[in-house]
Amino acid sequence: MRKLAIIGHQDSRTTLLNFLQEAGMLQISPLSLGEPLSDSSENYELFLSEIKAAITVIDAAAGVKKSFIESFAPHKETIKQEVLSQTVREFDWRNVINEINKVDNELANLKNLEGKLLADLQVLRPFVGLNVPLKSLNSRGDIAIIAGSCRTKSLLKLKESFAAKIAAGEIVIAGQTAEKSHLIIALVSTEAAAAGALLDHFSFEKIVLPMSKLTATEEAGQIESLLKKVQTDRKTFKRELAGLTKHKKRLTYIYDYYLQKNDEKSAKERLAYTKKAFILTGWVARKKLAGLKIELEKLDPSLALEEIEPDKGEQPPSLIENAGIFGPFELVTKIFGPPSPGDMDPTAPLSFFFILFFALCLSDVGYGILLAAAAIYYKKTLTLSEGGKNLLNLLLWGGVATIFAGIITGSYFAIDLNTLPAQFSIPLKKVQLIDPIKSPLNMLIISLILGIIQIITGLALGLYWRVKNGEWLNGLLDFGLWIVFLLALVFYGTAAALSHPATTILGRLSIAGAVSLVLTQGRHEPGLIKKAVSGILSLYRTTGFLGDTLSYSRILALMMTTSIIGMVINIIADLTKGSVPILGYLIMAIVLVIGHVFNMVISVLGAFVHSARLQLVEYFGKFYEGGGKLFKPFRRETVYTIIESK
Amino acid sequence: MSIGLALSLFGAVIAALFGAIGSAWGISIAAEAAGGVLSEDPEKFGKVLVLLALPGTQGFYGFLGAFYIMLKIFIVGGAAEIPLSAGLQLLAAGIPVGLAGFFSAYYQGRASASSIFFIAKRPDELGKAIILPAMVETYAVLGLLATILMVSWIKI
Repeated sequence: MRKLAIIGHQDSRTTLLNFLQEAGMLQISPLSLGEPLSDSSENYELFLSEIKAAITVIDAAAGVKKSFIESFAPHKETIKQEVLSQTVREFDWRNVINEINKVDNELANLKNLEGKLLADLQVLRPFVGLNVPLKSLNSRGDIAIIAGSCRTKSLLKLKESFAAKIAAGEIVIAGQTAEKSHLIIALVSTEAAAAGALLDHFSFEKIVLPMSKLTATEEAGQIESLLKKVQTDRKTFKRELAGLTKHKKRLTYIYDYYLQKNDEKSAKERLAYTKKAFILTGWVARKKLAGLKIELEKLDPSLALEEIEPDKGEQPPSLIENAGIFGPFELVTKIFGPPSPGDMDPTAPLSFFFILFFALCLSDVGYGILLAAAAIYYKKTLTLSEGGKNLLNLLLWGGVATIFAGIITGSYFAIDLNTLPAQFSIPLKKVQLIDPIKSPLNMLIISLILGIIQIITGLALGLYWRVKNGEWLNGLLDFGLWIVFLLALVFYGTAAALSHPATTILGRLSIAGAVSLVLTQGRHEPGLIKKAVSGILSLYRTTGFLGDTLSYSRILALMMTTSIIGMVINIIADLTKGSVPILGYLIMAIVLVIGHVFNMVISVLGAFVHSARLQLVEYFGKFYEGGGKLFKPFRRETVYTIIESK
Repeated sequence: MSIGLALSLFGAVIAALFGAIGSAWGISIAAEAAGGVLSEDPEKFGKVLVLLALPGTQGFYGFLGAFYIMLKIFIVGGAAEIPLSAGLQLLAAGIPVGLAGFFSAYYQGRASASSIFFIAKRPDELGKAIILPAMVETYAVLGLLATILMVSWIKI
């Protein structure tokens, strides 16, 4: 990474920023000096949130749903930049958004109204039997009238105690179901308080009836006709809203246009200004610096370009660039975080192990073919951003590798090879190197050996990187010694188990390794005692390596999960075959398809997660620290479209 | 049915039952968080679903352990002839995957829930969000391995 300063006249600022945004090579650093920016540009953020809200509304109205795969790899339209600016000029988006919001508000109001009317109707319904104006069912003068409901079960008791305690009053039953009775109670208002207490005792729920000249039946009829009108109106507005979805495409163009404008605005705010001039500083990849300089000079010869030193304590951004087959694996590196400046990029070293472990966890020829086919299908049918492409490429590689892993473990949709006709089963069994279900121990040992290989590779990479940076001593002592010690220990253990004659010499080598670790690992500590203690304690790291190695046993576990669940699906499908004549075969086919697709999806998730974890925790832990900041050049960022480059 | 067979079936029951209960519990914890996040932004459904599914694996591990025990008693041993001692051994073998699965699924559900909130604020960091709950799952895998190795070593 190189830091470049560009100084120019304010007039050339817009041309420069537009050029940089299109080129996408420079990450602009914020500067906080000089005069404040007096530019009063529009509030693009407000535009963006308005457009986004409108798109959400019409999407909901049109019932647009994203497929499962699209939420990871969203489909984008490839388009020319001119189309965006042309749409902004020609399309009256504010009007459309106002329209959308108006209809949406109307719909919300109507929905509220509908709810209110339904509630009113609910109140009135029990009283439709009473053929008097509702107005007369409200208290007036010295007569109190209480409407409400109580449980039918307690009605009799309520009546009894009412008759006993209230001198002058009448209870009329307006409507009754097995659960509830709706009552109108009339009494002299002086007794209202006493009646209230009595009614509370029977958990009587009061209802306030509207002050209307109409009877309950007439009132309910009016509400119902109003309700019908509201419902037709809602339908009309919904149709109108659905009609507005035709603007969606253009709205997305507008959104992406203003997203770029907004980025340009925040880029402007990162520059420093005098009254007439501006200074722009930013990071550019070392390889691209010369090319960028030439193009800038061509763009505007008045610009002053100068390569500058970073500020004190300023950390350059990290660029991860892996061409070709390693590209997709940047996804895994990015989960952990990009390398800090001067650290190595672990993408290429992890790619092989990642795909190997992924394939072993899945290890079924059928699932491998399905996965690869699905990845190819989605690559063809969806226009994708960089990240989406990487994910699908990763799954494609994973699928291909899984086919090989499946051949080695003899798994073809988890079918029992013994049930196949001999002309298939014999050659398939010949290429099968291991059966994890029959001999899990062997597969466990293979998993652990792979783990040891990866851990030693990690240490070797640490050694390589130190040596490459001239830190010979640290490399050899912190990485080289451990490699020797761990290898000696592993081989000593193996030789001892097999009682091989090399046991003695390997044992001595292990002890020598341990002694040299004790002597060297405390070298950074002050004082002899601290050096010795920290040297001895460093041997404790061996248990860490042991734990790391055991962690690779997950390869066996996931491999078995995939194949045994697959086996169970086959067994269940076999049971359904004979359950119903003819139809049984259909059921069997459904069970097989749904079952295996489900098992594949779950297993792919498991294989991805656990393979990634082995890279990030067990492998990276040996040699990689991360901690860099990703290089984010100023460029055309878009959400809905991909801008065609010229 | 011999007592040995009954005991070994009990081992399969422990494996399948506890794994399944744990997963159901763990997923429900994550699902509660997911419901909240989705009410704000239903478009995150796909990503949230992945995180939601993570505590579900223990149920499969438990089932797998149970199936492995059943393979042993019905195919290898022949159903009627499981001696008492072998039955007890198979019962013991069902415990690691059952209990490790049960507890790890519950705690993984909590980790998933927190990752779901993480995704709500930073939808681009799905990778990191998946790795955190996956750390918990390791110990369910170890439980499953213990069960598998024990079952394959037990002699009937």
